Formats: sequence, structure tokens, C-alpha cells
Amino acid sequence: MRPTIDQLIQKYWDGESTLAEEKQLKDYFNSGAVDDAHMSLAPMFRYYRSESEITTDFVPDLSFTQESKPKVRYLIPKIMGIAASLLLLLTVTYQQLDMDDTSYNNKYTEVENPDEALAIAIEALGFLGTKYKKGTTPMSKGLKNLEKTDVFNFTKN
Amino acid sequence: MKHIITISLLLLMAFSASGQNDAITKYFDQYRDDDRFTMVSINKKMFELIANVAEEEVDDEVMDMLKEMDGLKILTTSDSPKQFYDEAIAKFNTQEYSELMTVRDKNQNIRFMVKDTDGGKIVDELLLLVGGEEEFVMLSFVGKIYLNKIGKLAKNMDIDGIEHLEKLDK
Repeated sequence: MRPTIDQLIQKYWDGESTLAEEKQLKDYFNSGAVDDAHMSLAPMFRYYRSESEITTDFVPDLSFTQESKPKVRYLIPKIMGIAASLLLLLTVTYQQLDMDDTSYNNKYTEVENPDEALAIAIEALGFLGTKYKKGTTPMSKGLKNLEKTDVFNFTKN
Repeated sequence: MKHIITISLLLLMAFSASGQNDAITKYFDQYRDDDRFTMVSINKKMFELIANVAEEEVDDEVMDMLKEMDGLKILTTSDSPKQFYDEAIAKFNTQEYSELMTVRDKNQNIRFMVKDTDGGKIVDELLLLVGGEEEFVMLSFVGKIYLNKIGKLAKNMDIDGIEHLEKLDK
């Protein structure tokens, strides 16, 4: 048995022993039948054993790790909801403001009388047509006629 | 909760869509209270009224165009017209509007800009900018505008200025 124990101790010091071999060593040193040659090492292994046997009733309070998780999960949709509601509110308010602005415009620039509106619209279309003609006539009649466009006299129906 | 998010997203999209002709609206708003400008705006409702009121008095082709229109905005000034013309050109020279044609007629610059979605002969918005030495005129037509019909308009009417606006001022 001694050479085996010696080999085990050597492996132990070299840091190459397996867990099973270390358990064997610990059992040997705690058995009481320790060879004299190994006596010097016995207190160390006994100390390891006695230390490992110390137990405590203390249970760490890890409850916070379990509670905080659902809290965060619960808050995210809530925050999203609040953000979405705010966005909704802002959008509606902004659009409302925009509408108010348009009605303000109407007061000052919209034409209220259909006859007047008609006259203006016809005039605007006529103006548009005249300008459009200026741009398109030279293309269809050749560039030499460019100046002629000013002489054309279109009569009103 | 998901519904609220969806609804707000939809609203946001609707909101951004409503801001489509912002460039022009902003421009008009900018000079709304400016005394140097004469400004007229005719909205869609008024065009509907016009269509009902004046069926007989108006030329058919003109009436057809009026029926398809949703809005008209006119802005004119005789105060530093060149400067305002250049400013407007710079402002609307964006991806939103494409240039239809530019005419230089004597001392007058004329530019047509259009906004169309289907790329055909019908445009959604026609913007006419006229900048001369005496006057700057900006016309914005919104609705269904048939480009081929515009040329024919001049046969029926010869209008080289928007005189009616001056009456409005009084």
C-alpha cells in the first residue's frame, strides 16, 4: 500500500491526481492507519476534511432575482403603451393644429363667392393657357415665328 | 396595446401623406400676411359650387377643366418680382416637381412645373411661375389637369395678366 500512497502523493503534488485518487488519499489520512512516513502530511488532509464538513443553515436571499425579472417584463409593454398613447396624442394634436391653421388661411385667402371664384378660375386658366401657348407655339411653328406669338390676337368667345 | 401602436403608426403615415404638397403650402403661408402680395385661394368645395352654378355661361372645355380641379392658389406681387421668381424656382426645383417647360419671352421668364404620379398626360399639380420686370405670378393648380387641353384654352381666352385680382383688393 505504501508505494501506491507514495505514488498518489507524488501525483497529488504534481497536480495530476484525479478526484477519485484525491478521495482515496483523504480517506487514507483520515482512517487512523497512517504510515509513520506520511504522518507529517496527515494534519493537512485532516484539515481539508474537517473544513469540508462545516455546514451552515444560512440560505442567501435570492428572491430579488426572481421578482425583478417579471417586473421588467411587465413594465416594457406598459412603457410602450404610454409611448404609443403619447405619440397618438401628439399626432392628433398636431393634425388638429394643422387644420386650425388651414381654417385660419381660409378666412383670409379663400374666395367665398362662387361667381367671383369662377371669374378668377377662368382668368387663371386663361392666363395659364396663354403662357402655355407661348411655350408650345414656337415649337410647332418653327423658331422664326417666335416673335409672332406676341402679335397673335385671340378673341374671346 | 398593439392596437394603439398600430393606430398611431397609421395616423403618423396619414399625417405624412397629408403633408405632400407642403412645399407649395409653406410658400404660400410664408407670404400670407405680407402686404406686398396679393393672394387668392380657391378650394375644392368652391370648385364643386362653381360646377353647379355656372354650367351655361362657361365654355365647355373650360368647364371640363374646372370640374376636375381640386384647388387653385394664386400669388402675385409687383415688388422685386425677379427676386421672388428666382426664390420660387430654387424652392420648387426639387424631386417633387419636374420641369415641364421654360419659356423666355422678352423680359419675362415663364416656367411650368408639374407633379404627376402616373407619368401620363394628366398631372396632379401644375405650377406656373411667371417672373417679369413688373410682376411675379405664381399659380398652383391641383386636381386632374389635362396638359393637352391647356393649349386649347388660349383659343378661347387671351389673358395676359390676372386683372381680376386687382378688383379683389378694393
